[in-house]
Amino acid sequence: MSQSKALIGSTIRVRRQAKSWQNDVPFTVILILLAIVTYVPFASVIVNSFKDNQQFFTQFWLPTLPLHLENYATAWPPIWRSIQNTLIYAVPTLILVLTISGLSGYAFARYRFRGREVLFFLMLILIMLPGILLVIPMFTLIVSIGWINTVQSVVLPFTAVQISFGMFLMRTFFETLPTEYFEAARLDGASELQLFYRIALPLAAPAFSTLAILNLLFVWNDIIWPLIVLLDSSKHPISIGVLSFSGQYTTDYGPLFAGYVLASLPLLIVFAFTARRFMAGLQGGLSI
Amino acid sequence: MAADTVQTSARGVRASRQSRSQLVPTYVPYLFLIPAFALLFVFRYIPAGSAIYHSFTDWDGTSAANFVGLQQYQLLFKDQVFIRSLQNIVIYTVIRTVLVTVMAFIAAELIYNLRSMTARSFWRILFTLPLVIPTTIVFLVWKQIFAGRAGLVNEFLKSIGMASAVHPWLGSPDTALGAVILVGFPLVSSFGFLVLLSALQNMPSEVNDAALIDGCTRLRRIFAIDLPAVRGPLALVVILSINAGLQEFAPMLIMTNGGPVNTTQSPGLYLYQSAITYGKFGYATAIGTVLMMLTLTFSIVILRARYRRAHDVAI
Amino acid sequence: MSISLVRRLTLLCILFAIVSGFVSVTSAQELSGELTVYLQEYYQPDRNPEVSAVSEALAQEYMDMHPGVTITLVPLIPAGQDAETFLAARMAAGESPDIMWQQFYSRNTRADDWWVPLNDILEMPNPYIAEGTPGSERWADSFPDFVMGQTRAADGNWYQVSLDWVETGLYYNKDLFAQAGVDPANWTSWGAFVTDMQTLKDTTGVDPMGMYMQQTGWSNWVWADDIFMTVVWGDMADELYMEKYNDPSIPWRQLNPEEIAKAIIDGTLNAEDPRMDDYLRISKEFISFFPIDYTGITTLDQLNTLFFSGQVASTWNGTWVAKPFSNEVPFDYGITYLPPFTTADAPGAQDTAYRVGGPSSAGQYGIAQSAAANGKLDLAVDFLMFVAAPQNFERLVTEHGGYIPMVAGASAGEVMDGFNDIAALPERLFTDPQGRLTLESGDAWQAVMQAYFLGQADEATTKAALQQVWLDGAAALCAEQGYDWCPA
Repeated sequence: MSQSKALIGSTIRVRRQAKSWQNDVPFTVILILLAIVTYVPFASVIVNSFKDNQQFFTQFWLPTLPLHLENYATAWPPIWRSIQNTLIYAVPTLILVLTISGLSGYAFARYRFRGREVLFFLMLILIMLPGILLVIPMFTLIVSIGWINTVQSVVLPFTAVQISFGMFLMRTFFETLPTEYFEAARLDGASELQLFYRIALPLAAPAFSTLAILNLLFVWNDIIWPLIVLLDSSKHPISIGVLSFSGQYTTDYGPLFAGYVLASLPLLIVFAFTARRFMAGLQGGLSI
Repeated sequence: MAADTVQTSARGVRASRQSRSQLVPTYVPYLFLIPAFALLFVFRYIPAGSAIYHSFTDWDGTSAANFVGLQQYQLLFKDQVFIRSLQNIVIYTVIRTVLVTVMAFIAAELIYNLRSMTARSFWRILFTLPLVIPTTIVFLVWKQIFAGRAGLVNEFLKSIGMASAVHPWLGSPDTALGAVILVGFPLVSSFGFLVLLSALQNMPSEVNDAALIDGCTRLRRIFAIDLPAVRGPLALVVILSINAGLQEFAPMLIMTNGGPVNTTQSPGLYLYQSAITYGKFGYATAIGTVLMMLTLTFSIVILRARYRRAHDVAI
Repeated sequence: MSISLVRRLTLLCILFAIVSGFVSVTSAQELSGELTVYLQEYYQPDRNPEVSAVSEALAQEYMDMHPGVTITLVPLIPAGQDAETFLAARMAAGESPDIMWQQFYSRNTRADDWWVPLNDILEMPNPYIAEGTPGSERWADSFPDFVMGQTRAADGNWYQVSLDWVETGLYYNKDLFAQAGVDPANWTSWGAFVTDMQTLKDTTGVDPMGMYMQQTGWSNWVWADDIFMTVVWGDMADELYMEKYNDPSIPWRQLNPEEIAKAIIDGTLNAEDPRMDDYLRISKEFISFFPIDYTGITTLDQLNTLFFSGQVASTWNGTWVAKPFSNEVPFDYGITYLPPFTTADAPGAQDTAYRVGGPSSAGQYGIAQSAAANGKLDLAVDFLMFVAAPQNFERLVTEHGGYIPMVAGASAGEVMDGFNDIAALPERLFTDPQGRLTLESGDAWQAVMQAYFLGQADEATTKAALQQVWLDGAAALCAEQGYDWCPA
């Protein structure tokens, strides 16, 4: 009897399914607790960004009055400059990473060829290289090419670091595309390259969004490489720009924290607008 | 048609091999791979090779490197600090990977089981946002959370009447590593969380419905259906976690600088100190090479375990 | 015949003098090229625009004097590992700023790999120093002897000029001290100090001393370590000194790494000597006044949090916070110092207190080898001499207010308020552990002491371990420097 009722109308079933596993309340309560604990550090950063040093040293955790809004004004010029610099590095890196990951991921996914697994493995083990190990040899290499202090000295190594994972992500994604699309186009006389950029690329938009955001996060946070390879501090990206307010022995903590808040805002905005795309990119199911 | 698409979009490529080999020249895939491997060759393989080569020398970063054979490695395995750092990082990686994976899964399940789509979106975004904060400042704040006096943990213990439990979390050899492991608690906001959540949401709804009809409790469903279904993504999260964990040095650098008495020393940090502070680049590259071998071993072990019982993957 | 020859020769000489005068004038003006200069905290445009403006003004004045020259100032990289990375990478590629800063004890390792030895340059006259002021005929005269002594590298060379200096003192909370009835004026011996600190702890419940100790790298605990080592070995100073470093006008000075290494290898300095029992005892007494997580703190600023909020009664900090503290500390505070040590405290004590002052400030500049390789040595030396002239450097120092100028003729200004008595004390015999032998042996020393303080090792084990650290450090230093007395 209950079986036949359940068979009536999939939509009704879906709603009823929701109701029988209802009572979100305990879940929501746990989520609220987790969220509070997660957000304590960030609340602290914001609270501290309005303090001067005296307030900062006397009371770290609680807000203090008066609020020093001028910390943001102080922090803004170097932060803005470094954000602009970061974009100069981030945009070319993004384009390169997406293109190269797309091309390679596509090749790994859709073709069988000799050495496919070997090459894939070779690419995968690069993820296991400790980045810090390669910094000095890579620096010597850049110097010998004469690219020190240039945009490409930042963009190309960043790209190289990212494409291992990018290839992996794109391969997983491209494997989910049905072969029929490609077969049909191939029979119509399309070249392989056209198959790639006419069919695969447009469909890959969600995966690209995910990769783009991950890439942006990396470029935003990497300190060591830009510090070494960029000699002019006017070219420094945001990861170094936020440190402008630390001195040798003393630090202006208010502007320092304000700088960090300002540095997070662009990413926040990007995330807010692309959240859905980001999740869609993972929709194919990222896995090994 | 839709059903067919679902079938063919399973892992693995079901190529129509016959028609393909007739139409596609064999060199095409290699062409696609050239840009990637050119870049990787110049900026990853060559520096890696150089680094490994230098681990057999006594390079100090500026003057010429003299070949010394396995001397650096011999010194390395007699070095108590290095041995300790290996122990530390294995403990750190294992515990942290378990914690991060479990918390990510719990959070993903919590959100997945909400009935309202808007609630799900809301919580998902809420736990994704913390990823945009630069990690340096997160470590600075956590240093203050664990501080002896005026630290959040100790203040909290005092306020709930457990003043006797007040402890120098980062200053005591017994608790320093534990404190560093717990940085980022509750460890929900992570890339792994997003991967697992989308994997769960990717599960076909028919399975849920079937389980519901059969009178399955939610808990049973989690273990019997959800976990196996996300095995692939789970393996990925674990491997990425292990990979990142073994190389970790930033939290140790910012919060404890390896101390006290080497209880939070990590190979990555030791590499950094050897190269930058002491100028022992030969030694540092030896550390890096050993670290790389370690990471490789762990990853291969996990991959083997993953594929041994895999039914859903065609390699 | 001979008279006209003499007259001709005289004419020739006069002509020659005039011509060479012209030549030297024009060659001085012919200095040209580009110079990159890292003035450390004296050039930080985002954070400290006032000081940076002075630096820029100085650079501009120099460029006006020498039209063919372009000076580029490089802004401060935050201190710590990032600055080390910055420098290590650049030096590795020969791309360092021409005039560059590095912490003085790091130069022991890097030495002439990275830096140009300045010994001969210091003997030259400094044309920018007015006649009559020390330094105008011999640049080295511009600096006090103890500065030259402390900044001499382990191989006997000078790789930097230390234009400014740091003094340290105990900043203390007058309210808390008054509450406990403790007055620094009563500290006539270490014993009295210890009793007072204990009283402070018992009465107020706060930790008396804001100090921390790191396993790797610097912490303000090393200052205490320097003093305790000095106290315990003070009576042996003359036996530890080597003739080559002696100067009859300064009977008491800091030990050079070579002297320490030789004393260790000769057996004069032995960590298992009974006098080290006093050292360990005094050290452990001192630690008992620290905050509970002193081994978990990594920066001085964390101590400020404790000091400002009244959770430690005092903090040992340097002149660089004199100005910020006067603006920021929310209570009445004073500056005092560790007490003198009497023979009752340790048999080797010299009945005096010691000051910990050092060159670890902003104005320690060296010239990179890459500058010399690029033919810019003369320009670099000239600009450095320009900056080091008292009338110029004084402007930087006064505006910054955190460091004490060591250039003769430059006045210190307000930064010395409260530190005048301290500056009169004799200096420590031993410098920070990282500078005693090698960087690594310094960190190894700290690791052993940390294990001792945390109760993981007893006195005997610790002394044996310290001796091993010393032996290894001395051997390493010998391997690096190849002194002629080193055992084969």
